[in-house]
Amino acid sequence: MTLDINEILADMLNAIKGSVKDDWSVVKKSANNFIQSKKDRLELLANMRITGAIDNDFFEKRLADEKEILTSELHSIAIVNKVMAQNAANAAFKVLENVITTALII
Amino acid sequence: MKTKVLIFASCLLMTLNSCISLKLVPDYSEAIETQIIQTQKQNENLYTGLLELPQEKRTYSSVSKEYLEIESNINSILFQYQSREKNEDFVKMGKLLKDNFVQYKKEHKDKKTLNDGEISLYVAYINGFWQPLLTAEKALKNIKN
Repeated sequence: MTLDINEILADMLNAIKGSVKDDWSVVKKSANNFIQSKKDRLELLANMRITGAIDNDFFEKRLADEKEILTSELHSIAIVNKVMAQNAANAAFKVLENVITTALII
Repeated sequence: MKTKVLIFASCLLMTLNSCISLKLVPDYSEAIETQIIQTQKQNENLYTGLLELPQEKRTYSSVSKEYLEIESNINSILFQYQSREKNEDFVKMGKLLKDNFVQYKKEHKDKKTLNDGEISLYVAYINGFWQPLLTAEKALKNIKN
């Protein structure tokens, strides 16, 4: 089995970008950290297979784990995103609350 | 009449304070963050410790106690996730970590021993499951009240 690390990373980056759409700038730092770790991991995996340190069965299992790691990363990015959304919504509610308070006092 | 208006206004303000706030994520927990950092370190030590041994001595039974201790800590993190509100993403991440930790433990048991390459990859892959947990918990520090 051939392993095109750049292609895999590009696909995964697109999956992450697709999941956050307009909020990419918010989660960019976390996503880039995940992609860098993924790159290092896949290079190590490919290197170990090429040098014969691991057999094909082990190689295939770890490659399959990448899908589960990506799932976990997407949940993590969803949390980063939700924190930002919660902050934005509550800041807006605070403005509304202040306006109503002021109106009631007047 | 003025008293009635003031009572109504106070009630309205109290209602606004309690109802008009959105909660999408759980509150940050320093205890959970610390436990994630410590258990990840323990998990990495398990594997790097094996690298110090000759390959024939890297048996499952030589580190079974460490495996059980780490698994117990992962269960504790998962339990704490399950106990807090707005926990869906955290519980899923915790379960993925646990399932894969148990899978790697089983592989070690079945293989009897591990070579250097396999150990390096177990470290890299289990850390791949730890990293999202830590990123997510740290993100909760940014919640503004």
